[in-house]
Amino acid sequence: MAVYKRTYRGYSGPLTNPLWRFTVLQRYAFQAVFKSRLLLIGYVGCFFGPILLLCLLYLNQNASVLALVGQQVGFLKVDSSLFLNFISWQGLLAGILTAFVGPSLVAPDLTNGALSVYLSRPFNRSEYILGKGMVLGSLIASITLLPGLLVFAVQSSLVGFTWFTDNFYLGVGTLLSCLILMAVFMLLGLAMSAFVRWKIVAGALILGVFAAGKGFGAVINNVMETGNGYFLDLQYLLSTVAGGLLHKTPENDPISPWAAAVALLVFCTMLLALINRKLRVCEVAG
Amino acid sequence: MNPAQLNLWKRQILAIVRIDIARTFLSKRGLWIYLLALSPAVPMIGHSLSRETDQLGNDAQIFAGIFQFYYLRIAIFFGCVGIFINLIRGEMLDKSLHFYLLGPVRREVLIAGKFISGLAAAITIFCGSVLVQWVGMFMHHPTDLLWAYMFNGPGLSHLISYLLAAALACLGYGSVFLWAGVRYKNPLVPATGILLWEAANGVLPAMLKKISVIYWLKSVCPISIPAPKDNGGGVWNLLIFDIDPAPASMAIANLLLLAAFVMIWAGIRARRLEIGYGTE
Amino acid sequence: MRQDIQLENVSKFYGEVLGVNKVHLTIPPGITSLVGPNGSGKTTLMNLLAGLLQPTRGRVIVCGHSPDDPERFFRITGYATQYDGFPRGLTGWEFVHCYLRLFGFSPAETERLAWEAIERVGLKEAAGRRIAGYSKGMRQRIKLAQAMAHRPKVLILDEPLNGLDPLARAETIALFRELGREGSHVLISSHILHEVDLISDQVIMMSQGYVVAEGQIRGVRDEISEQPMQVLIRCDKPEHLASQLFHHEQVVEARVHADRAGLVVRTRSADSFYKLLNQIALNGVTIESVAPADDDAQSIYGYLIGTEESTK
Repeated sequence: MAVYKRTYRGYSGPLTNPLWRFTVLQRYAFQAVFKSRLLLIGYVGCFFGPILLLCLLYLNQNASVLALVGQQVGFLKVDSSLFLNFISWQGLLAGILTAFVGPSLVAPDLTNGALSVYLSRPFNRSEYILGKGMVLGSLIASITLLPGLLVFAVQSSLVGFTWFTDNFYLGVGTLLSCLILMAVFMLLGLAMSAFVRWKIVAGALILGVFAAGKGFGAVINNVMETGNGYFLDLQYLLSTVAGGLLHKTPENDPISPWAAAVALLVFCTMLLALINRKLRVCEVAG
Repeated sequence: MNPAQLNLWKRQILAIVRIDIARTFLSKRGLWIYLLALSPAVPMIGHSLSRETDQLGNDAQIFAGIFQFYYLRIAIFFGCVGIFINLIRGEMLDKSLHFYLLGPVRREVLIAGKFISGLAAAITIFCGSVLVQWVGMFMHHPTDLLWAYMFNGPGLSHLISYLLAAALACLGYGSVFLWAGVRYKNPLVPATGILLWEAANGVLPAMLKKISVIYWLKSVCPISIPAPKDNGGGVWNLLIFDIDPAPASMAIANLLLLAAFVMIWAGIRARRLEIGYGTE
Repeated sequence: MRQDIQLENVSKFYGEVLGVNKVHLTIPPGITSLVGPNGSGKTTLMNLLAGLLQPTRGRVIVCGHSPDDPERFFRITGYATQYDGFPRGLTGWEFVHCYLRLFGFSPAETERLAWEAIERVGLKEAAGRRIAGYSKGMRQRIKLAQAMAHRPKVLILDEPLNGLDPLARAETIALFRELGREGSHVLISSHILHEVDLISDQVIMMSQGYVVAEGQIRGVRDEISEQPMQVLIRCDKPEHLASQLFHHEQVVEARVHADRAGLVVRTRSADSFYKLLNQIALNGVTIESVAPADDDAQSIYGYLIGTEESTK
């Protein structure tokens, strides 16, 4: 007669709430991301611009300091242009951050067969995408959304409630622009990481999507004498949507903010479909 | 150095080139490089098919703009990132570099063979694409006008200049990315730095401008393109800044020197190359 | 020119992590097995021998050549690593053939050598198929073919028997023996200890980056004086023999064999014990055979490295 020792006991401790289970991925992914000292230095460097701007905003309202350097209060014009340029610059840094962080999110799991292990747990594809995406999303938010809103809040507190109410659209515009930027970069990072398993190539591809899209769009515009090439220019589309939200749209813009928003939506849907297709093959049938 | 030794090196380099060309450039993996190289040809052929007649000079101007602002700075740049970084780091990823290192090949010869194979592939792809683009751009013009432009006008010399610029771009960017592939575990870091440096070239002081590949390539291009007015591109407009040219001969000499310097450096560096396949 | 492999005080550190330390060895021709647990430094030592790693200190000389001179060194050295990576898209034949071209042989000679190596590892039928479709055992064999295609004097093989089925394993061991008889150096790392006994002329045992023993297996056993030797005595009256042996101080332990047709004895001094046994044999016990029971790699490995450590 065979005797089997009954030593196995299933886990009976507390479980993470299914609603927040995706954050488990985030916790471990952050540790991996910040293992790279270079990336950490780069990330900290992304705060240089916002800090400088906050200092300028403070000086902008500080009559005594300005008097010392022969300037007057309000030397810096805080309007939609400033916010648009701020978002553009921080967006560029966010793009570079995406190229470095994005590839390490999904590619190693696909290469090392870890994705099937994740998906064989009580953890579905959407939660995986959300968990991994939020790693990038939270990093991008920390260098775009949070500093943007902080700039708005500081300016409001320095100038007064009237400025706040008069320029409320700048706060809303910054919030929405940064959220759109975050969603696009998050999906782009995840899609390229799932599409190309070699991290270096995936990173180059992310930069390539921006640069080649811009360049190829310009080629189409020049050769075909049209403005439709801008639909391939991701930076232009983001900038146009942000411009619309911040009430700063050039008069002869070849594509409207609405058209740009639709193009971004189509682009994001395509990225999502790509991620879904790549991850579906790893899902273990329940 | 005896002739037998030279002959062996030649055979080894040829062997490396044959292995690399067959494995990398005739495979599915290299497909995106062809797409990148041929991408400008598509709208150009479309342009020709959609127009009966056009100003030939206008087309030449458009071609020059696309060549300088898209083809050199983006298509060849990223193509060379893919080709030349892959030569060493790609082998590391496939865990197959050691097969070369276990052959009776001097590391310097290995680097030379790898560089030549990358260069041969890059020149074939990108110069081939220049020819396709040229045909695509001008094919809708009447034959006699084209004949006159090519053989009695500046057409042929312009085409040769573009081919030369494309080949030099492959040489220049190729050597820079070979360096990045040999030197760095993650060559994306230097590649991004180089992209930003090359992009900012137009606004750099005169001395610093010369420490870039694009500055010398611009000097070989036959038509000077003025910087377009602001089109809402923000910081990306750095890509389309105009720069002051240098003599073409100096440009060629400098890019050849760069390639030679990188080859020597990479050869010396490769002597200390060790195999440690991580989880890249 | 010297025909042996010399490692002169070789150390390799990965930053602060020790790979191997102060390895000083001279390996004569024949089959040498490298044995040790995971992380003991076997692969590091092999990579150092083949020039894939450079020693932090010391130097490696193989048959008079240094890895710093690849043109001469790799003509006499072949190395099949444990990396399971292959160039993409190649067939078995293309794989062996394309790297042989680096040796500068004529095209006809290259082709001949490639086929010869493929035939020796029994992959002629599968040579036209892509390596990506090969089984683990076939991949091992094609790596072996690639390493030996240029007929090296020194063949370094990292876990060459991994993944081979019993038949292929026997054929491969026979091939190693043949190469050993031809006067080649065959340096093998293996974790299957009874095979090490079968194959090896000498062993090198490693633990935590240090060489803990080297030489012929029996010689190594003799050196481990602190461990009593085990001797298996086949005789007709094992219990009687045991009772007689207990009176002698050389005998540490005597245990009747499981089949009750022999006695396993542990003794501090083999020579004195054999003399004693001659006297006892005259006292009415019929001894059929006397043989050492622990001069195999498994036992020596256990004594030196500890049986609790897993082998690779």
